[in-house]
Amino acid sequence: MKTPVATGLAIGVGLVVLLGYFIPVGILSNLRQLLVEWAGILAAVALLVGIFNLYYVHVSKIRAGHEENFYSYVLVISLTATIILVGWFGPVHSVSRWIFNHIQVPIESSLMALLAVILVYMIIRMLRRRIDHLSIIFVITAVFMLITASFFLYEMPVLSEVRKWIIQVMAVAGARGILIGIVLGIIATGLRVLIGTDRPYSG
Amino acid sequence: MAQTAHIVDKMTEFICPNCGTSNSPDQEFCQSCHANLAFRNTTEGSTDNAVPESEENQSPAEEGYPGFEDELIEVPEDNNNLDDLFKEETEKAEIDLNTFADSETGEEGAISDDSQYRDPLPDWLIDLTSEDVGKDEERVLKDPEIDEDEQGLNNLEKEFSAWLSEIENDDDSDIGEEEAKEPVEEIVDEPELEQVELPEWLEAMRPVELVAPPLRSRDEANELLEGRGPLAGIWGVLPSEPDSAREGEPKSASVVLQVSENNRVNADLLKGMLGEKWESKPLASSQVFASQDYIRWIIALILFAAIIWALTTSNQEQNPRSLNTPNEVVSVYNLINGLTVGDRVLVAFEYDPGLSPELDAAAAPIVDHLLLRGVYLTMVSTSPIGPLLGERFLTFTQVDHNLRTNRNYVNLGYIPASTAGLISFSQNPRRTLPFTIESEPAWGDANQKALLPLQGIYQVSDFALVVVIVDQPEVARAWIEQVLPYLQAGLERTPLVMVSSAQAEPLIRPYYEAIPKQIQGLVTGLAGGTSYTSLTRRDSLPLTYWEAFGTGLIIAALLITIGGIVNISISLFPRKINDEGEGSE
Amino acid sequence: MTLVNIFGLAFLAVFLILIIYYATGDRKLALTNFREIKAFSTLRRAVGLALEAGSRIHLSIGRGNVIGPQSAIGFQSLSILNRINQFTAPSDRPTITSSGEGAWMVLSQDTMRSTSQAVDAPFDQTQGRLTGLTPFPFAAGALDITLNEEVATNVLVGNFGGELALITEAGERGGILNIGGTDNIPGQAIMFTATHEPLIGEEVFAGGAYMGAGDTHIASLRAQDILRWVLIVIVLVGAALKLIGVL
Repeated sequence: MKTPVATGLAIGVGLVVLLGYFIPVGILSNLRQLLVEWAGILAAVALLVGIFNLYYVHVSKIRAGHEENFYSYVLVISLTATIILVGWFGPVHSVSRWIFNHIQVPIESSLMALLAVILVYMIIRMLRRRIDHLSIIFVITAVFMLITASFFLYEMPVLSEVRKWIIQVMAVAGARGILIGIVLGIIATGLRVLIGTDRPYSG
Repeated sequence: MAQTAHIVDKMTEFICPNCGTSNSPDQEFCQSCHANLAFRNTTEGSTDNAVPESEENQSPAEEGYPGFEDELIEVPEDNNNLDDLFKEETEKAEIDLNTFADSETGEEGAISDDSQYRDPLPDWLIDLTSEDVGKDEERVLKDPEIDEDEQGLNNLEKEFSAWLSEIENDDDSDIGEEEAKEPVEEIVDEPELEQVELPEWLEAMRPVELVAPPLRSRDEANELLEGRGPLAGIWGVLPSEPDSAREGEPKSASVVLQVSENNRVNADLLKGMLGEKWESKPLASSQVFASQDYIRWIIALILFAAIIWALTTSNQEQNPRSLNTPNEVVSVYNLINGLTVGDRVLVAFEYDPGLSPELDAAAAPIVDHLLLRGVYLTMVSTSPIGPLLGERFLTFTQVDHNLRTNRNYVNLGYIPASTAGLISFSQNPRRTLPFTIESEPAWGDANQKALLPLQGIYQVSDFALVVVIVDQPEVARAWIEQVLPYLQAGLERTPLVMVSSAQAEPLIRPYYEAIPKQIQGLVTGLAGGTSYTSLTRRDSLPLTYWEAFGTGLIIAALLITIGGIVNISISLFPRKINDEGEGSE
Repeated sequence: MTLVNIFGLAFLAVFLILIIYYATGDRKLALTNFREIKAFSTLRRAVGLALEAGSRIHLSIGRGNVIGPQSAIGFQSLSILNRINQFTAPSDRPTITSSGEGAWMVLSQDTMRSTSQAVDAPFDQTQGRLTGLTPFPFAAGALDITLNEEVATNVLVGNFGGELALITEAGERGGILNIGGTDNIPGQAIMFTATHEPLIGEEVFAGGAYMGAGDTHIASLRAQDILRWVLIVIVLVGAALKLIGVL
């Protein structure tokens, strides 16, 4: 049972922030800015809570003795080592930068490179899973864009114009249409939270 | 109500020859076992057929009961007074079975003391307590109220004596049987007894056990002779008390498992079945590679091989310097060319480490151009990891410029609260980010000047140019929607340019093509960076990747085309059931 | 207060009035008034199958910021989580959520705790997890859940980018049903190719209505439909006026 206090507080704060955007009255704008800054602080605290949760989950897995807990060991050890080193030397120290430059960025870049293989395979498999007009158009467009974006055909007279038209007209139009629908959904969700019918918090 | 022995009430009830249940005289079928009681009708006027009898087990009682008639009570024809008649008899020898039951728990031999609680036995029955019966039976049969000097035994009396003999323990269980037989034999051996014709009512009183042959074979070894209570002397009576409550030494149980030959054979057979040959076999390990894994590996090997080959064999002299540079790229070039030495430029690193290869390559020639113009850089980010990415970018891509922190550039760090933080930074950057990433005061005060890259900066519009390196269209939109109004509030509108990933271009381009333009320049992905190098004519990172990038695109397109044709061809034919069950295919 | 601000406030007011109008009294709408979205039908069936088979549902909220436009789809994901957890909380393998933002982790735990209390089921804090702070580590953590937690269905409703491909690929390798939607345009392209039942565009915001979260969800769907047509008319009229030179 969610208490009315939490609901009333959420509605009140939401209304102040919303009206502060549209009505540039001094006190309302200042109050909006203050509340948003508080929200930012809470989000930062939530980030710390999340890190503790991450740590707790994997320590629990290690304690429970799950069979697939090797990566939990890796995570706990690396997290502990990083916190100690960066906390001791500072975020801009050469040690901290070395961890970031030589471990984190290469790993994430590699995962991004893996996406290229996965996406190629996904497109191939999609034709096996479902063959309809949308899938065929999707594949043809993807192949066309890949070919025309390469250095062989990048400046081919007709193909480059077609590529530009697809990017600047078709893709933009489709994206804007989707975005309009998404924005309507965002507004509806926000209004449901404002009027208190949608309460993703507990009292 | 005192329970009287059934022998006293025998005149008011009929004993079923099958189960021994008492029934009323007018019943045709036994109320317990529903046996036909019609034989009673045949006995009217006949004393020989009162109960069914067999030749084998012909009871000696059929030969007559010479002494029994002495105990007969003369029953008047008018039965109205029967109750009163028997009532007198019962008053003489009425026993309280309840009292008798209590006395049963006494020690051995106590039964002899309880004789007073027994039913009053007729004299003839008392006479059965002869020396041949034995002392135990004598103690049971003895009734001090009854005169022991009654006339001699007959067959019926002897058999009664056998029933009524007390059994002290199980070992003596056969005694009664043997002794019951003895009187029978003795009865048979006395030809001197004169048989008389019994009246009908007397025939009806004849105990079933005497005249009626047992309808089922009696396994006398398994039946017990009741030795206590009103049913004393009767075989096969359910014990009134459980065996566990009976007195006696407990039987010693054997600890040796009694295994028959058949059991041993079956056990050996089961043991053989559970032997080594029936051990569970390990499951066949799953294949290291499923068919789909082969395809993934083939795609990966082909792509990586092509890109590595292109990287190793590319000739930078053949770089596409003659590329037709897009207008949005030219706009950025012109804007940077318009900067003077000492201008302050804000650079926002708004991308993730995973896309750093693409955006580092796209932004490197632009930042290189900025540094060549002699401007000071101020780095910010709404991503917690953005400041480190900025440091890395400068370290790896701008090595030639020998940059020094807080001299050539300053890193103000992370702007919290995302979109709201942008508004706060746009309104008052000094208050929003007062320190550098090294925790040094960035903006100074009355006693200390601000850091060199931030001198003269009081609001965001004081920057000469704002460059946003972004990979997500939402972040680009946030900068455009939240910061741009403040950039255009100044006397000289501060231009806003973006270096975006190729995936975000469709959503950012409308802001460039809008009228009026909301962003004044746009460099998109590796192609945009390569185009920019054709303007600056400086060797830069995009040139290293361009050829390999193009090769990878071609190979990917070929793989998709070939794979798509194969899959469509397969789909046109009936598909076999996939036993591997991988995925949903 | 500019004209844009006035128009924006008016638009919000009309939206709110429509939601209240269709959510109250005799004008309440049934879900049968809307077209079937196969993804949600599949999701409802998947919940039942997961309960029967003793498997688990993994719901990922994504990495969107809780302060900003990406928060809306996160709240939508929480609505869906609330409905799913009402059924899965008492089961042997309750739902596990993953997120790339600390605030979503807290909110998801809060949602599952309150739902578990409502159905008198136990709640474990490890059901709501923060798996990473940047996109690819978040995907790697979600991938670990997908592969090692007896998951039968991946419900991916949130702000996802390219890292979505890693999660869905892991699901495909494990024979896991992938259902999802995102408000990120590049992510939607991947969602179309990678998931069994993609949710395109604003379909993902219909999740609350199709999962039975309440009358206001259905009412807001109708309000969205009406205002979508209003915007279409405005765009067409504006384009026509631009074409003829008025604007």
